[in-house]
Amino acid sequence: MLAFLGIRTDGANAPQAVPVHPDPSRERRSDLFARRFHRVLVLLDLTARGEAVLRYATGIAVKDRSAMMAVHVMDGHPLFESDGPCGHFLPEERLFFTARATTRKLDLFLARNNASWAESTVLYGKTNEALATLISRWKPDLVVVDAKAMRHRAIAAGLASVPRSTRVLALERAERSRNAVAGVENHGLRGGTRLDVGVGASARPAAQDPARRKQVARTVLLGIGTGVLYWLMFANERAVLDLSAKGHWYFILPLAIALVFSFVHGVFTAEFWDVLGVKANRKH
Amino acid sequence: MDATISFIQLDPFSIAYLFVVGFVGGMVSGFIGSGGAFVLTPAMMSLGVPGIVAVASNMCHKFPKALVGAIKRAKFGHVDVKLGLIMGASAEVGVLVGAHIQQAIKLAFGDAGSNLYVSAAFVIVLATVGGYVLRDALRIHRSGSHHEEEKAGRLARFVQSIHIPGTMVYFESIKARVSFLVTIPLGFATGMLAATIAVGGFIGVPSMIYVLGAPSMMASATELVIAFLMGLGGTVKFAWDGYVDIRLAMIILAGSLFGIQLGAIGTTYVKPYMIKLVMGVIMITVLVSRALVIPVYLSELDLIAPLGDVTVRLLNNASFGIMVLALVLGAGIVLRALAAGMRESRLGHSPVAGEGPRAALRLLDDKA
Repeated sequence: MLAFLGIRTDGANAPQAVPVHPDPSRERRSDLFARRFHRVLVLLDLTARGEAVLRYATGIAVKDRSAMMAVHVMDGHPLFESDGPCGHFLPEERLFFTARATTRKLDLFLARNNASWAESTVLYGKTNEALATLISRWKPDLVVVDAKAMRHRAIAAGLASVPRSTRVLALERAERSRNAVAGVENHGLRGGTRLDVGVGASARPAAQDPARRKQVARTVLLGIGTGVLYWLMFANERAVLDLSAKGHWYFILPLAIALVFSFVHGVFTAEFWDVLGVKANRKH
Repeated sequence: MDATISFIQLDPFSIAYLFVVGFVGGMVSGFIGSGGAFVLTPAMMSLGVPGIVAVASNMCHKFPKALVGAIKRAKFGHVDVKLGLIMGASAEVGVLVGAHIQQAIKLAFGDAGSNLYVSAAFVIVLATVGGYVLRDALRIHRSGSHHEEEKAGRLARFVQSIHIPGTMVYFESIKARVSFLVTIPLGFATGMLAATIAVGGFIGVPSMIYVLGAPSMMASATELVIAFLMGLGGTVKFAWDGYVDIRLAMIILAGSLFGIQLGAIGTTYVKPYMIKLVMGVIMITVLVSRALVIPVYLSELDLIAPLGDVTVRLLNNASFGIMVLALVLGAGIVLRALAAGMRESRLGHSPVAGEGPRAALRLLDDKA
């Protein structure tokens, strides 16, 4: 049986975080946020509210340097078992393809919210069992979920199976207004890092995202730096060749050029692929 | 040395050509630890660069490239710095000895003798090591045990059991104490091969895998440390004599740093046997390439009947073409593995079943 412990935050429109625990009487507000979480599981849909929940969970995961998994539970379920073709696909096949497309959407959703480093999973089919299996196997120590989603049959069933040591944090609805920012006040309770989890802010396109913009700017600067280095070398081509052809202690010149170029250009190429989305597999 | 004679004029075509060759070579190097460089010397020579300048410039682009690759792979936790430094030191000695042998052969038998020696070294080493690596990769592929942790072979277990007091060193990649005396001949052979065919990794990586028992992922990354040390030593030696054309080296470096990052990222998406597979495929293809030109050198040394001009040209071109094919093949496998790995990671990562949506569905069906 799930019990709820409500935490009121300031302001009428401010969001509320509702930690859920089998035995709430033991749970103190400060304890909840003083704890360091290693594995954060966030249940979300692909809407602005989902973004708010994701931002909130990301804030915690980044602060605690914890692993995060974003889970989207699909509602669709084949209503009948079929042993023959129906249109182009069997219902299960259709569900599979929909799930695959949703996985793509979820990954884009994560990327848009600067959380592409998180693992992502779409649950479909018998979702209540799948969620329970996921929780028992992945063993999150914090589950972040939209309070409304708690009423979802599969999610409620799945959350009923969380072990005692796992905290469940249900975020109440945040109204779409400049001042109503999901979770900000709760972060204040955790010792004060003000994290950007605003509903309005989270809908910004990736290009306007400060972290992303900073990375792109850094890459462009490094690219320009590399270009300048090459331009300098070719502008002084004759002098460089003459000096390096002299040999002996002039060997320092090609060596120094190689080291400086490799440093600037090396960082640039790493950032270059990163900006393009070609990143190492952190799940490996 | 007169710069106007030794260093060629660069035009946009040759810059683009070197950039692309550098990119593809870098990608292969980032993936298997080495192997991208062997085509660069002939590529530069085909532009009219004198042989020794081509070798020197190749060497000069190699050490910063290996440095960047090693740093990148170290971030993924693949590099065993201690093993790399110890083997790198003996590899330096191997490079010096190898270079002296080269010079002695050149003095005694001329260019054709030297080329024959290089080609014969290619064929013998690549046939032995390449065949073994490829067979091992195919065995793992056929057995279907791709996810299994690589286990040390019989030879590696024997080497790890040798205990020579006062010389035992714990290597993180091997997860065992091994006498550093065992690594000396391996490093030496790596250096010798690097001085002979420009790719020491064809001995370095397999020896770390099969003789010392290091996982292929760590062996290929640790090879970058050895390549850095050898490249640095070689560059100082050639630059001291004024042979380095820094422009050529930096153009190749420009391409290869893009490639080496991509190759290093690629290793995080593939199963370890893929590294062996790519290495084996490249080695065998290069072997065919070098075997083709052996008759040319034999005829130049009058050991067989002289070949016609057309035949010689045909064999030389076919050899170079196959060498380029080896590199393109390797790069193709790396890119394909990277694209497939990224797609799988993006779409199919399902911790419920661990294998992707289809497997997740299966699991749910099973449960039902």
